[in-house]
Amino acid sequence: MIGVATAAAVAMLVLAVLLAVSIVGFRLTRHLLRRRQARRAARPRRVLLAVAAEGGGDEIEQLARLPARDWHAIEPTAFDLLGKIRGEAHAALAEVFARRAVLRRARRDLHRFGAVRRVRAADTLGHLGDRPSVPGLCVLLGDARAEVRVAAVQALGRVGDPAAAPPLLDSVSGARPTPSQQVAHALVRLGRPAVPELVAALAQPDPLERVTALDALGLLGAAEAEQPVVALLRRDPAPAVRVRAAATLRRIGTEQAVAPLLASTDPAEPVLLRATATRSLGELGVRATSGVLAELLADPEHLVAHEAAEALLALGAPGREALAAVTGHGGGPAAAHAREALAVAELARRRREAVEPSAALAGPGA
Amino acid sequence: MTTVLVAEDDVDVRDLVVFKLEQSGYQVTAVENGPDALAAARDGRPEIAVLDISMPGMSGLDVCRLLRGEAPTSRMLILLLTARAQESDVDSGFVAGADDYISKPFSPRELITRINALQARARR
Repeated sequence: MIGVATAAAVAMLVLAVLLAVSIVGFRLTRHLLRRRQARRAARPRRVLLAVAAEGGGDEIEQLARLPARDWHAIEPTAFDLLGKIRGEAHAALAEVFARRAVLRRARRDLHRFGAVRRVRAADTLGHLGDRPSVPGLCVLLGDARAEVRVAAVQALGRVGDPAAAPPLLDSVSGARPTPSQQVAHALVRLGRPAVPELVAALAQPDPLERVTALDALGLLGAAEAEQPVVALLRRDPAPAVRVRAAATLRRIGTEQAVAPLLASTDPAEPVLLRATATRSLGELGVRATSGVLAELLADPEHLVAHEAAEALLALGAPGREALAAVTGHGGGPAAAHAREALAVAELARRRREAVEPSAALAGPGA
Repeated sequence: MTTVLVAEDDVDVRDLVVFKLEQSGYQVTAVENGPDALAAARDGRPEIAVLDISMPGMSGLDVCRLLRGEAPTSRMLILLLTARAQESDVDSGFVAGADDYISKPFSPRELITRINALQARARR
């Protein structure tokens, strides 16, 4: 019995030693490989920086003719840099990738069986800003694999072709949807040329498409979309769309948005819509709304009253005066909301003061 | 030679900015986080600081505020480098005392143009 136990203990010990040796060996090998890779990348790195900094012709040629082993050592850095630079520098680096057939390979890999290949291909084409790949990337928006769809969304945003707006918006719904927030972000990257498509999408039957278009219009600051957004706020059949329209107006709205936002604070409306509209009224910065917002401090719905206090803070001096006046009216819920908002604002001011001495001179209104 | 402090935690961007500045004739000191940037600015008193907004330890905005609050560094030219081109970050940068900002992805050529313009404005 003792012999069996001893043999088992010895076997365990040997296994432990073997495991430790293999772990050390693996780490050592990895460390050495990384060092060799870093050494190999050191010389072309200088050339790579010159291309990224200057867009130089000689350096492009040098990178294009680099031996494969050296290129593989520097390729990850070159790829990372593509996403961090723009203008001539980006074009020069993209030319290197094209000369090394990376572009051709990526276009081909968009249709490969393996999902990892498709993701990498989409990523590469996005970073290279390859417009001819837009139709192929749009096909991937309906890919069976979620990670491929997300890669296609990001790539289309990077390429920045406004023609991708309708397929991107379509992709948020259906059996294989893409994440709405990521699509909105990609749409923003398409820039102002995509605004007409986004406005058109506000009339799409799918509420998620309308919400996504609203998010993108707000982030783009597309003031020309104010009227269609107001129309959604007033009449959209989906409550979530009306809420998002109210939130969008705080970014793109003018004084013309005040009346529909005020109407949305009516007690007969859903609470979330009322709260969002209340906050947007403050963010619009129209001083004449301070009286209505002060009244909303006494709203029986906690969320609406809380947002009214935040909105008054956003209004600046007249809002603070209104909050201060309400705190003098005893201990009701309205006064409590006003006190809370003023206290939080004061705390934020003191925090700023801790790192910025000049904030102390600016006083509590800062 | 004009001295520039570059504070950026992304090694590729840092190396690229340093490379471009050196090629353009600037003398550059590079650091990778906020506290080191503050120390280098206080010790070296560079004429220009290029600060990334998002850095470990202390943000570029906080470094900017502190440099503006201290007499020896209050007149330093400060350019913020940000990945976030959101309006609020740009506003915060100017409130913190930055002279200009440039958003990533950035053009190295534009970076130099902006720095040259800042210097020209400061001389007037």
